[in-house]
Amino acid sequence: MKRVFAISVLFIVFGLGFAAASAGKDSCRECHLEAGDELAAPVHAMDTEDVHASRGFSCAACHGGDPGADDQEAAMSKARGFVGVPKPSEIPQFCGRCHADPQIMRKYSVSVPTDQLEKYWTSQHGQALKGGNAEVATCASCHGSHAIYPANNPKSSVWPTNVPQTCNHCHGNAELMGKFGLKPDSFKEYSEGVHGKALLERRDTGAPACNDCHGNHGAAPPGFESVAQVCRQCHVNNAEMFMASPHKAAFDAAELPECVACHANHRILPPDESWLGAVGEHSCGQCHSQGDRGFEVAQQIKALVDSLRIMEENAVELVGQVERRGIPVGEVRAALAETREALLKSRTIIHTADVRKVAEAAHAGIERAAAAQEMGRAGLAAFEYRKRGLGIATIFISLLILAIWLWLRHLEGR
Amino acid sequence: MGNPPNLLAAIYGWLNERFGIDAAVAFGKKKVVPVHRESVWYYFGGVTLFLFIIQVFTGILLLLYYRPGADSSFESLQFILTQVEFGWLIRSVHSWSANLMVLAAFIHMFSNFFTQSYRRPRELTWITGMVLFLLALGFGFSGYLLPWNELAFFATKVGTDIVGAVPIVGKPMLIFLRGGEDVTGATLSRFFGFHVAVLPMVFTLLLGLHVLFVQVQGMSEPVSHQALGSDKKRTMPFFPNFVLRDVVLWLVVLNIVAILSVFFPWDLGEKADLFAPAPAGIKPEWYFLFMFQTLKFIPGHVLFLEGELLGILVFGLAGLLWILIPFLDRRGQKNQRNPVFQLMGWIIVAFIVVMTIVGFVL
Repeated sequence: MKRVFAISVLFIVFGLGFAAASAGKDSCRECHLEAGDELAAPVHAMDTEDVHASRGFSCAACHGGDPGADDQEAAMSKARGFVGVPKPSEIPQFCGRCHADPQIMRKYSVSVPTDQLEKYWTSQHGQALKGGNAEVATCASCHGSHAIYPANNPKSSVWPTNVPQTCNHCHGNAELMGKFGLKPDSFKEYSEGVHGKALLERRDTGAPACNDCHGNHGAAPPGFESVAQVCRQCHVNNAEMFMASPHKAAFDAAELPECVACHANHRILPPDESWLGAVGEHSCGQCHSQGDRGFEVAQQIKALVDSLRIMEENAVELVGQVERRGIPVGEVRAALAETREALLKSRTIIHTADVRKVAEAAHAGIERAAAAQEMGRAGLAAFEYRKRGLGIATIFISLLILAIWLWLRHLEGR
Repeated sequence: MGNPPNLLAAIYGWLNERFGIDAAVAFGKKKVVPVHRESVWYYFGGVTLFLFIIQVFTGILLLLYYRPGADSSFESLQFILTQVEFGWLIRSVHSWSANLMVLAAFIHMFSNFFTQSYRRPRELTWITGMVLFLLALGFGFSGYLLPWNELAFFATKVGTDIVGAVPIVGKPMLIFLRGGEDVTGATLSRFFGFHVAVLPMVFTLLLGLHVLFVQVQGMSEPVSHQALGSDKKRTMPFFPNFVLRDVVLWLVVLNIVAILSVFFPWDLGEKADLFAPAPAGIKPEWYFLFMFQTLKFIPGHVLFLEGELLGILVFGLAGLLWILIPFLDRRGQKNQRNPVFQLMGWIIVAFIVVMTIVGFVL
């Protein structure tokens, strides 16, 4: 019964809005534009590519009232459904009137999700709001209020490359974050990490923004035991190898946040072999120490990957020398690519913490690197052969020139 | 069986009886080459000829393995460079000697301009030489596309676009050159045809005429040398003195080509991709660069004409006047120096050099 009533109210509100629009009368716009400044700002904002305005919604569609009425009091009377400006705590429910209702939303798209409100109440934001804290993000905090672009519009505040700044609007506010016991430097750390550089500097929208790991409407930090599940969305192999490794149980027991324990959360730096050593904030040495089994395994894995990396670097240098001498290196390039692939594979297999598996991948790469080096040396030898040939030809040509010159001198009696 | 000298003498006698070789030898022995301070420029015609001969030989060797086609040109070049014994050398010598040939032709042409060698009665020698020069540029343009690599593909696209901008005949010429609207495998096929059949045939015929004219009329003397009394003129026998000097220079050039080919082998680059965007900094071969750069500097519109069209018309007209120089240089016809033409020549050389450098730098 309640549902029927709610739908009826909404239809009346929409009906009035549409009726006014179809009659060409919108007293909300007229008065607010006339008032100017702050009161006119929402109208100007709606005149951009606002998703609601572009689908024919007037102010009254959300705020109620009667845009057909000339009189301000009549237009903004509660009797005509005027709800005014919602308080922040009312916004989720305010937007949810339509966005949580499949019957309404399917009129605009059959595939549009309608679970945002439900998810919101499970989020850290929603939970805090429920608990009476109104200083948390609601729909408008992220999406804006009057110039709301569709999420697939690059101008939208929730377009991937804009998300970090949108979140940072609150999460970079030290005073506000202090109230929740959170650090305000997530954005800075994220920007310095591989994901931030990819998304913000290279504009690679495939790179994760805040919401890809934390969720958007249901935003919450992943628990320490489920970090790998978050990272596996992209890093499938690494996560699966970790889950099957002895580290999974040990990390859970020690309440270590899985991937984050070594890679950090926001400031994720490109890993290198030094992490397999004893020293450094990301290193195995954080948990393992000289003499324990894990440390030995780390040392063995490090030796294998180091060997492959050094072999690869030498092969690349050698092939570069050959290339600079103008010798074609087509086939060697293939061997180098295979070496590179083996190095990447070895670095991934590290997550198994299994020396045997790492050795298998590393040895395959070392073999290809050795083949590339061999081809590189053959290229250098070919260049030496060319130089020798040129030297012999030059001597021969020079002798011929000398002989002809002497003959000429003889002929000309000099 | 007689001994070898007798056999050679018999063969010589047999041929002489039929073709009058004695007369040609006598002509060669009698022929003299003027000796003066400009004589050095005589050798550049020979150098250009020598580089053309290298082109023919290396071109024929490349033909043994080269397979024209959008799917095979680049691959066959790769094969030549990596699998064929000395294939890299032949390909590099072909590319380097092609560029040096155009350079030698430039020097030959300008040295003849400045020494006014085109003067009566050598007008046709100049004109055949000019046509040979244009054909050499045609060889360069058509040969550049044959490896079917990225740079060649886009340079051909730009080059044929410029041809397409010529009024009235431009569009049909573009279609004819490309074998359609765009540069495709069809363009490659016909460029190959031009490069190995049409151009060599026409070039060889004209080259024969050009050399014949030089032999019949002898070397041109500069105005100042011609005015000297016969007692003050120095000469050297064409054979063997001049020919031996020619051979010495040819050997030096051969060595330069070999050194360049070993230390700076011609790069093959990346295979052409018809759907890839044009890489930045596409430039034609250096000998077209001054024209290309000039076209870039001309504003989009000059009066009622499109800038590019104006550039093409100016270059076309300048080329035509250049060919007709023997008939325009009235003072030259009277065996007098022409300071205006000399100054104009130096301005043209400076323009070409500066625009080529600017083209490389920008």
